[in-house]
Amino acid sequence: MKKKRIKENRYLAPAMSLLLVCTLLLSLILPDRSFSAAENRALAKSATVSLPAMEDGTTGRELNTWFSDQFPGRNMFFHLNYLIRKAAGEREIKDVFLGKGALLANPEAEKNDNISATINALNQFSSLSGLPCYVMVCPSAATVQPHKLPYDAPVRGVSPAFDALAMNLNGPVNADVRSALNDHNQEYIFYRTDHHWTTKGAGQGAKTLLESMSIQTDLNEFELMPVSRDFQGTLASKTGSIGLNDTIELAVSKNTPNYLVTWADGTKTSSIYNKAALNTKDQYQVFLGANQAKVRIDTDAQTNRSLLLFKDSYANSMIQYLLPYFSSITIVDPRYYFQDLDLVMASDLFTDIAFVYSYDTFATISSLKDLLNDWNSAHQAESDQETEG
Amino acid sequence: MVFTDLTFLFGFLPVVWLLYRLVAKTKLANFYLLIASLIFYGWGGLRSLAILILVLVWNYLAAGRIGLEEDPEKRKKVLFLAVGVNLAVLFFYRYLGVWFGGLSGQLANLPKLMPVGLSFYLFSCLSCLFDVASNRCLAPSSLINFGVYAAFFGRVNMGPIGHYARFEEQLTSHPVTRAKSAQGMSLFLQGMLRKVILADNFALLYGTINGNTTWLGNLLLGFAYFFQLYFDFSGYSRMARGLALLFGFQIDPNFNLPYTAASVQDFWRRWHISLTDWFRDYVYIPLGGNRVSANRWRINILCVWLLTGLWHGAALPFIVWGLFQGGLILLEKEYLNAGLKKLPAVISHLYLILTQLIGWTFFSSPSLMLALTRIGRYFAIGISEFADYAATFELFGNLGLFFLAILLSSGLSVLLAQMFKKQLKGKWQFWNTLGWIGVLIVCISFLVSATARTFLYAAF
Amino acid sequence: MKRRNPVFLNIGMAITLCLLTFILGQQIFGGKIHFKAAFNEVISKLTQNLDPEVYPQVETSALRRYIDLDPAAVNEISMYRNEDLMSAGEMVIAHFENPQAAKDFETAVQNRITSQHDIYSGYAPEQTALMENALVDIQDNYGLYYVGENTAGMDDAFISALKGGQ
Repeated sequence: MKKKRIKENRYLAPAMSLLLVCTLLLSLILPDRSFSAAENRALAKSATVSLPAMEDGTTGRELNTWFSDQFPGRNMFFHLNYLIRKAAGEREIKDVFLGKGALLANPEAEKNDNISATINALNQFSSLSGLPCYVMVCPSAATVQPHKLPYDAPVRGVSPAFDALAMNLNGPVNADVRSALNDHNQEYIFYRTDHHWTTKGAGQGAKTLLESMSIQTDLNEFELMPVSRDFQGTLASKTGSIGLNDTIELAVSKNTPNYLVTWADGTKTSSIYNKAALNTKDQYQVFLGANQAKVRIDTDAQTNRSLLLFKDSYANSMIQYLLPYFSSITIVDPRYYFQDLDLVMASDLFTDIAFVYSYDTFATISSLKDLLNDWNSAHQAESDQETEG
Repeated sequence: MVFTDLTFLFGFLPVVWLLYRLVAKTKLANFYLLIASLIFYGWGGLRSLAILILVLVWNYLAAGRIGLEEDPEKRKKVLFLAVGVNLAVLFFYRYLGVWFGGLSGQLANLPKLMPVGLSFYLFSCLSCLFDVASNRCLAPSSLINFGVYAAFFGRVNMGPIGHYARFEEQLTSHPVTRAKSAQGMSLFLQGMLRKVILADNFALLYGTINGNTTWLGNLLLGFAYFFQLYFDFSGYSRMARGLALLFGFQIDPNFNLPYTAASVQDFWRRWHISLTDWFRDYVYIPLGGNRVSANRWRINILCVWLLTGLWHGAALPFIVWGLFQGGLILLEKEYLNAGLKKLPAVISHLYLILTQLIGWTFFSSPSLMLALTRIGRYFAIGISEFADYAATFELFGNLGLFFLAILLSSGLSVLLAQMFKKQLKGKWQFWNTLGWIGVLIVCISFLVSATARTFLYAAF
Repeated sequence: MKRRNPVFLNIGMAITLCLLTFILGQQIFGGKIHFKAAFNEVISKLTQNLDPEVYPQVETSALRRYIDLDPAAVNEISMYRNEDLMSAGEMVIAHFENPQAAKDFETAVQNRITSQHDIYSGYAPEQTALMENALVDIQDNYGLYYVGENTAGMDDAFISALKGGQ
């Protein structure tokens, strides 16, 4: 069967060669950029050129990455990809659901039995330290606001983990924030373009945590002040979305006491907010900055309660609600804190110890479990010696 | 380097293509192409390049040696030696590690070190040896020309596999014409569309739905691979042919709407044509083809298909796949063909699609057990339920993709293109150019956003 | 057409064959090797030779005090050193699953050597000398970093521990 031949288009080759050459020239002329705001990552600016690297192909790969990272108009193509996929009917990109007016990250799958191992570490820590412990694991938008998900979205279930917390926490108090969040799930409690909760959502979290510590709080005392209306968070960076923006608010109350913050590097300021972050890509860092291993806040609240808080970035926006209720708050992020935990434990007479984590970190990252287990094994040995001696 | 690297599209290609015009009409043309090809190949590692060069030199010298040998007995011996070394290299990388990897960690590691395109360019070289030995042509007179034949960057990574005797005359004369450039660029872009827009997204679907045990999920998995493999490989082949045309070479099509075939026999006249031609010319016919007793003929067929399966991979599923295809062909030739012709076209097409769906499931499964389990699920054996949210979500999210896939694999796209051409008449060239620029932009957006996804068939 | 001399072709083929064999042989015997040994076995064989006073095991969470490497980036990792900052002796053994992890390990360890060397140089000549002789042996899926007296012995023990796993 003879296939019918379409006569050629004689403009195609010249047009394409012009396009290719112009793009090449643009790519060579334009200076290298070191950071992509759209993707929120550093861009390659060089490649290793050495004999071993050329032998196994590393040089070629790195040159490819360099060229690709510095491709002219890269951001534009990234956003175009999002639009094309959306138009084609896809409702999920890189495990982020394209929902109704929002992006919702699929909860992560548990890694290595992390949840039960962390619960055991928490139980042991609670009994060895002898201090009241409170654990709050926070679900994300995909769990709390299913009405925003695209139809039929196969969201990973998180109930088994929460049930495990309810059943197996023995010693620490389980502060279950799900019902509080569900009651308000029609409100703006999660960001549309970021995996964190908003200040409003953090308020519900703070209320739940404080109530579990028998501290009553009235959220109406806090006024929400918007400081940014063009926040585009981690989920926007992952998918390349455009047209979705978030508002960041700060929660201030007239009951907020004066306080002094001592940061991880020793500097002191009088505000927990990092306003400079509002001019960067990751505006969420306005809450407590980034990658702080240990932060200490001393307040002049009229109470002798003192809090030690282990957290990931979810609690960053929650701390502003806790200030009126503690005379000191020491905040530790086990992902960045590598010193001896005893140094922290000895730094104050803590009356309460809280663990506030997002579900994703709690299910996949072992740094909390590792930190606690190291302390546990050291103090278990002491406790065994004491009982023997 | 692969064709979908931005470095290739916007770095290597424009530079090499445009500078070629300076040497195209001179004696340096092939030398230039060889150097460019070596740079292209060496981008992936100097060690792989060294092996390519040694293989080229070996085969060039061996072909020359065979050509000089007039005593048929001695000729055979040199041929065996030459072919033996080639097969030994292939065995070393592809089969030694898989079959004897249990003996030592070093051996098990070997398949990971295999140079890209080894199976393809080795077979191109073997074609030359066989053609020279059977006097179909003279031994290559120039290492440069031979190098361009076997290692031209357009097809060194993934074929189409070369037939030396048929290609030889182009080596000495391959002028670039406007028509060839136009057709070449069109084919290249068509291939890119298939690879980037179709194959890569089917790969995403495959990755997402893998592990699903429902009937629908399994079917989606099977068809995701079904289309991924086709568009990946045919896309690459189209890009290869397009590139070759840009430099004046005509390479025969490697695919001819295989999913429109009405029988397995017909399918294999349309899929990876260069490989089936190779096996026919250099294995099937020398074994006697069909001019032997009926039983010997059946063995010949199964032998060819066993080798075809092995060529694709060393693991058991590939061997089973090869014999499955061979067995079906035998069944058709002996019993089914008459029946198939009487059936309505729809039924015979469905038969073909079903057989290939099953076949490719062997292909994509890491173990025979898993392959059989998946195949069982197509027939509702061992499914957890008919469908679940994950499966329906992926189905509805990829309707556009499947629609496009069916449009292209059925050949309807060609009819549509012809219709457009008739409608637009004089303005057709303008809109066609604009359309392809649009496709290129869409492809770039996918390439920029994706994590690297290598060509599937490069693993073979 | 000029007839080529078969002898030249024969010689050419022989040379090519030798080169091919050489390169292929290198792939098996030279270069980085992928071992099947289990991590715990390798650890126990290596720590047999270590004085536990000088090289106690470091807790996973404390690893990052010394090496700028996320323990999650590699498959398995163990570090041994005591808390005396004036003691240069330390050892890290890592098991990787992919080349990127191996590269990250190598970078982290080289940075550690550089910074330790800079700390000791100028006032602690013995420790500086130990840092200069630090052993870094990265195979395809195992890596060893060791600072101490017996670098040659440790490397032999490492390789034999890895080979012993097969």
